[in-house]
Amino acid sequence: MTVRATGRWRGIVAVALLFVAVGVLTDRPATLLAGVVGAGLAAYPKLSRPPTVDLELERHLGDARPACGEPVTVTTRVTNTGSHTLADCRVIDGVPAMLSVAGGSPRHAAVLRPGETTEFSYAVESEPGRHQFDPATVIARDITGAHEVETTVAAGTEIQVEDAVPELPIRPQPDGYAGRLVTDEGGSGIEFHSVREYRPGDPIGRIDSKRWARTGELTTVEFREERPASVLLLVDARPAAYRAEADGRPNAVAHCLAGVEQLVSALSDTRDAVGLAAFGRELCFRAPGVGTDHETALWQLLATHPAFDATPPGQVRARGGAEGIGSDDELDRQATLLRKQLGTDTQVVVLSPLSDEHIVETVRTLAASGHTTTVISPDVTAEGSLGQRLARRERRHRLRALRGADVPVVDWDPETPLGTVLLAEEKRRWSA
Amino acid sequence: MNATARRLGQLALAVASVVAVGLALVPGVVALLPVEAVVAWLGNDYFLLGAFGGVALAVLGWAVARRATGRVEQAAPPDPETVPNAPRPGERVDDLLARWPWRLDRSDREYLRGRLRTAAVYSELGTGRSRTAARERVESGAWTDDPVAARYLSESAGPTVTQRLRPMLRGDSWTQYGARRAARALVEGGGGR
Amino acid sequence: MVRVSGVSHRPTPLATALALLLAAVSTAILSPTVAQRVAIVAAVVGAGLLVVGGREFATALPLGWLPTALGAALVLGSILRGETLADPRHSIELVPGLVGIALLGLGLRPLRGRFARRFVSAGLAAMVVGVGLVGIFEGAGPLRLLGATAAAIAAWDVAEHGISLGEQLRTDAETRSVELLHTGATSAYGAVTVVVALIIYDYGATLSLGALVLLLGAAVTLLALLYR
Repeated sequence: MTVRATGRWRGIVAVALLFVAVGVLTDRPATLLAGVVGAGLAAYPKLSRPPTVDLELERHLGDARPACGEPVTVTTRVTNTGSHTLADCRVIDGVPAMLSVAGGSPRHAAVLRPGETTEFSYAVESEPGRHQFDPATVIARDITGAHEVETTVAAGTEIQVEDAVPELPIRPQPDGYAGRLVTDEGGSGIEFHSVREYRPGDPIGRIDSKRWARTGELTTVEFREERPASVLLLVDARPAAYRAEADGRPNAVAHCLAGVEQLVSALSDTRDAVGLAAFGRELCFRAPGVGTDHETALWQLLATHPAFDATPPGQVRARGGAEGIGSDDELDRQATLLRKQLGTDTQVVVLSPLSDEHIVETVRTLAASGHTTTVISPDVTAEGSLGQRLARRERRHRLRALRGADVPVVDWDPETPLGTVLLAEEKRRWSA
Repeated sequence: MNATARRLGQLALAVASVVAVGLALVPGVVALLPVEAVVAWLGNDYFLLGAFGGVALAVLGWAVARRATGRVEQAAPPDPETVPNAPRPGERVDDLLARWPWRLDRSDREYLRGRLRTAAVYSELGTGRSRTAARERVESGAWTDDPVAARYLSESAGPTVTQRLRPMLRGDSWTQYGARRAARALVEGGGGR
Repeated sequence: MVRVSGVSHRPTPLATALALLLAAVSTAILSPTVAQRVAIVAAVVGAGLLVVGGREFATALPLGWLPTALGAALVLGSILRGETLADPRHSIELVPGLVGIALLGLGLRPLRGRFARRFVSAGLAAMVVGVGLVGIFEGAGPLRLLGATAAAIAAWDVAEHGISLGEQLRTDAETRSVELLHTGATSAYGAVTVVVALIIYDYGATLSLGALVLLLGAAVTLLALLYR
């Protein structure tokens, strides 16, 4: 909370002084008297104190899980829970960073008596992913406007734009075990897999008794073995990854975050252990785990960790779009740290726009050190200027270089929902 | 310390002024002031009051002067309506190519060349060559048909005199000229899918 | 995809209208004749058009330059008319106020966002000079001077409030209740100061020179302290 004196009335002192001086010097009592009015108004701000702000904020979404592209109506209600009237209460709602306002205004000002509620609504565009509202900024002024209290009021609202991920890009582990949530390796699971010849040592319960009765042959029923995978979702949020197709469009990191959020929700419905990591402002790492507490911790990380900030770091633009200046060493440092903490059997799903070679090298090192690695890469390049076309071509080469190193890359056009892209990828792989 | 002293001084002045107002309204007290003597000394009561007018003008001047540099303090809330902008991929290359030649420093030139060389090597890698072979092809210029682009990315072969002079006529530097040609060669030609 | 085009941080419309109205009231208090009042109305309408001409609308107005041109013509015309009144006293009463209205309009348009407050302050200065001139040259009675002063300061306050609302919120945000309350409160307080000043005026006739000296000294000191 910040309390500041605006000083907006100070100029009126000059008016009062002018009248006093002119009145005295020209011997006009009535003009001198106008100085009294000036002085009275100059003293006006001294009559009030900074307001005490006690507010409660609620948001209602027209549709909490809208389809992609549909505008969502947000209705925000602000209630004065304090015991003083707020004469000038200005609210700027915390629209999720990656959503833009499609209609109406997320800003509002109202006079709020104790207990009174004011309401305003506006519409936001929906982009895929799970979007958390930021706390609303509140600026409360006293009636004279001489004091201003700036604070924030939070309400944990989020919009989840519908886009289910049907299949996860989890790959067979090098040891032959399929890493899907139900592995194809025969075992003692619950789902029927195959029947094979009996071998001594097979549990009696798994002998196919019907067949033995019918043919006298001893066979063992094999079930699919469930073997949970351990998956680390790694977001490339280095300054170089904050690139967007056009102004006003979400940047690549925002797309990656939306993707990660979808993957986390999808994976938490399974028995797979999910972990989170990010390269960026600082290294973020949360080892794969299962359970509700772990899941809550992941969402907490996504919402609050500085590395998961979809807003580009301030200096990106100021440096003329400096692409990774001085950040190579930082990336190496973070990658080494990450590899040290990473369990050997953990698969890594990297989400990155592949905006430079350093991340390609990092992924290759990761894959070379034995981690099964997949890359999901939102494409924010465009045809346009020479530089843009070059960047698009460079990215294409990087994809190819990764694929050449046996790292599958899902080329994701963010216009298409990630689920659809992954599904298509799945089909392609089956038919191949 | 200094701030406290100032505050105390201001408070004392304010209290004194309020007391003065109070005294002015109590009839007997004013008579004790040597007003008559001062007026007699000045010659006219206009001068006495005029002095206050002068003081008021002086304070006014001070206030106006401070006002001219001061401003209203107020919160600058965020703009939540729009998505924060991020640069386009490749924006830095465009920026460096569009600059006046003398606005490019050494690190800019190195950045351009480094980026384009890496891009060329990657493009060669895609055609199934080894890293060393790809590097060699870029070094020797075999990766492209464009002699300017080839020379620009080669570490050993510098530009020929004509190659250096031609861009100057158009207000380009060799770096920008070469970089543009190399970028174009990369985008249009080599590598393919 | 529908997007909100450029965020407009111009002064809010209601505060703009109220400020122009209060400036007109201030000038009208000083200028009693019908010819003067006509000029004031013309100036206010002109300033209003100037403001409208500077706004962006959802659908671009045909002949978008017309309001600005018409407004400028009206304002200049009214000032010219004020200059050429038969009685020079009437001109003294009127012209500074008209200039003040014009400056206020330019500040609220605003001509340049950064200078919005400067224009509004200049408008107040012009109106205050007008009050001062009337006080000096006509030895006018206190009620006119006090009323005009209070109205001018209220106009300035409301305009500044509208600028601040526009900067922190936006022109399209719902802010009317706040603007109305602010304007009402400042105007009411201004009226109170006028009444108090009138009471002091009645009492002031009996003040001795010594008491006046004390009061003046105290007043100047207190004002300086207020400014700090």
